[in-house]
Amino acid sequence: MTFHAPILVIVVPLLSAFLTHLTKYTRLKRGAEIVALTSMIVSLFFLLSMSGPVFSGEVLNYDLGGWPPPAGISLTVDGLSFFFSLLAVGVGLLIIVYSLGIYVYARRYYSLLLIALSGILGIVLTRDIFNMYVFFEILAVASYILVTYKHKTRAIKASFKYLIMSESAWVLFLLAVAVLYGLTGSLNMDDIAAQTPIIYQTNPQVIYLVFALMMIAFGIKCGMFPLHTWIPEAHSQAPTPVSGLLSGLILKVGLYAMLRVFFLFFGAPLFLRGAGSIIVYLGLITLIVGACLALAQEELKKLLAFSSINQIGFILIAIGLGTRLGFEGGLFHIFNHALIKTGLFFCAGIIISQTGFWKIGQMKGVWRKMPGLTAAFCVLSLAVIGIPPFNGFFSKMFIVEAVLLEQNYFLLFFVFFGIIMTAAYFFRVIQTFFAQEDFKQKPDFVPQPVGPFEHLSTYVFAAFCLLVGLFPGMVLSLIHPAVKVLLP
Amino acid sequence: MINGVSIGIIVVLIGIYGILTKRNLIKMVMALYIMNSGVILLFISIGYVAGGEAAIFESGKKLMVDPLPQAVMLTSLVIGLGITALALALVIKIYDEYGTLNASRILEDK
Amino acid sequence: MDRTSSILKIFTRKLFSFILLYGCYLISHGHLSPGGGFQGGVVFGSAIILLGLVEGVKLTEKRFREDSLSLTKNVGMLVFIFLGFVGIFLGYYFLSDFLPRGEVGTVPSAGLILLLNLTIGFMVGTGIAVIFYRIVRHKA
Repeated sequence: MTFHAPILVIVVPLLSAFLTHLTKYTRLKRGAEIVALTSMIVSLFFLLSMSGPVFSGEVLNYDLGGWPPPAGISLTVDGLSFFFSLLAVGVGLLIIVYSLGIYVYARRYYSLLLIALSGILGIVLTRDIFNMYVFFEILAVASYILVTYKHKTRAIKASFKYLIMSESAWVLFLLAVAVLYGLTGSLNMDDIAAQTPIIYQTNPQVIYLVFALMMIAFGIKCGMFPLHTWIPEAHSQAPTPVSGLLSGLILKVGLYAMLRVFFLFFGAPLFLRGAGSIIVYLGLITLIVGACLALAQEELKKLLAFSSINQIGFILIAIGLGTRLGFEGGLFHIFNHALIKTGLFFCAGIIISQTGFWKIGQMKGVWRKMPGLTAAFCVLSLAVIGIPPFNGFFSKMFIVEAVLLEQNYFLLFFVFFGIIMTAAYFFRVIQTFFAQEDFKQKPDFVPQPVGPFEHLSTYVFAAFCLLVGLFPGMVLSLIHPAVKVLLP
Repeated sequence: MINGVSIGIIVVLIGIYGILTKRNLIKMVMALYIMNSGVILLFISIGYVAGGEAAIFESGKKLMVDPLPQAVMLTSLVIGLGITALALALVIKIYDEYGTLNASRILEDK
Repeated sequence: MDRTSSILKIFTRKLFSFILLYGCYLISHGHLSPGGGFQGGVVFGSAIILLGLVEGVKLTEKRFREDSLSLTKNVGMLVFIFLGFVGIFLGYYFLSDFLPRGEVGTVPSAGLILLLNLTIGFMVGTGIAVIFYRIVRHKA
């Protein structure tokens, strides 16, 4: 079964997405949730069964339908794909656990969530560039609908803006794929990677065009300045588990696609230097914009969304440097940030559903009512600022070291600026939580029942932060095969 | 030189112009779909072989048009259909709430 | 909608079954002439939309109920993935072509593509009809 594992990891959530609709005809009251949970556990099992060969360095190849590329689509699992898919399945499982506690989520929600997760797994496991486009669209459509799941007007406006921006970006990506196909005659990433150096010698402008179009597409998906404007509204108006999905996984998948496209253009080292510095400076602006706007936010979820943009800026700087330490720091921070930000959104969701307030200024003295949750929020914010012994410390340390090795003191100043600003806006929130006076609840507000599942998933995220912080070697052993793919 | 490739690029540029400048929500959705159609036209024209026949295997055919872009663009067309249907559904809900389709008036009503 | 002209109604009632038949022809002859799953499915869906526009959605709903259309869509996707799995059970890859090939130029000569076309055709057709029902029945 290990042989068929790549396609099974993608197909099992997709299959269950349509199976959840059929649970209407059974008598199980929570049939959809059982199906969703089971399918993610099965997918995780298949993924872990591939871990042995991947860690020893070999690459698993799987041609769909037996057709060899370039006529067919092939799935390949190497270190980078395995790292991202493990992250996706793990965080996806915890998102489903969080949604279990909220009874109002019906079959449609779980099937959309499973389609989105199978889309993410398809993106990271495929080796065909048009197949990546199709899976990106599957993920995007599921996320547009999930953002508006609660039919709030602001959510519908946010989703429409997200749709128009994202879809025009993907059309430009398709344009880039068309140009690449016209030049190389193949849609397979390895074939294109083999032919790019030759094209770069004779015709560099075409490569620049393709690079620019793809950077627009991935920049919108990952929140690079100036294409980040859909993020605040969409992440804050979505229901809480969907915010976790958007911030924790979908932003990272855009970064994965950016790393893969780097891999396509590896044969042109001169070009790589130029491209890397574009990404570094755009990441710098993203960091500054995210930090400054986060400090000015009144709503808790919007602050978390801008904080995501801030951290993506860090990761872009680390990736753009192109050194081994930079890639390690960037990938480690991707892993940490997915855990931390999803946990923070879950905390915020529980607090908002219990108090009924969205603005931070109104949430005074929350720690008396919900001490455990405030402790989890503190743990997660300390982790994202980068304080030992939590996991954020190691990833930020790698990034700072990578920048130091490049001896770019301008960049170093702004990296430290970013860390200090992160501390600033998170401490403002924590200070309000620990205030002396209590929050005045609206008289006719009924707090929604919060079951054990929400608390469980939030504490699991906080515990993971501590665990990875104490034993970072586990995650580093995952990252080394990934970096070996990027820098052979 | 007017062939499919140049017309495709012109249509994509018209679509980009539409998304950037138009204020009506329905016109934005139309511009998105026009952009999609432009890229599809471009992709299919890239696979054109001069003098080739339709890409269906029958005995006695010598030169065939490249079938890969056609198969790939079928998928892309259906994706475009789904996205347009979703966008129009969102526009209907926005219109219910605000009574206007003017993007600037909707945006300032935070 | 109540005062649709009688020419329109009579013609649509007569033509409706032929449009459905044409859609099925497009789906099943996808490998012999231009057509295939998506194209035939869209024609199939537009036939139902045409009937809904002319006769009114209430009457069309009686014949083509939304739940059965939705069920067809979901079952279609499961059949598609199941056909992929049959490839795995027989020892090949996912979605590999395991049916015997007939002679070139006849309908059964496509192997697995014919079954996949049929599945996709019905999925797309019923999907479009369900979208139409939902949009028309939306009340402000």
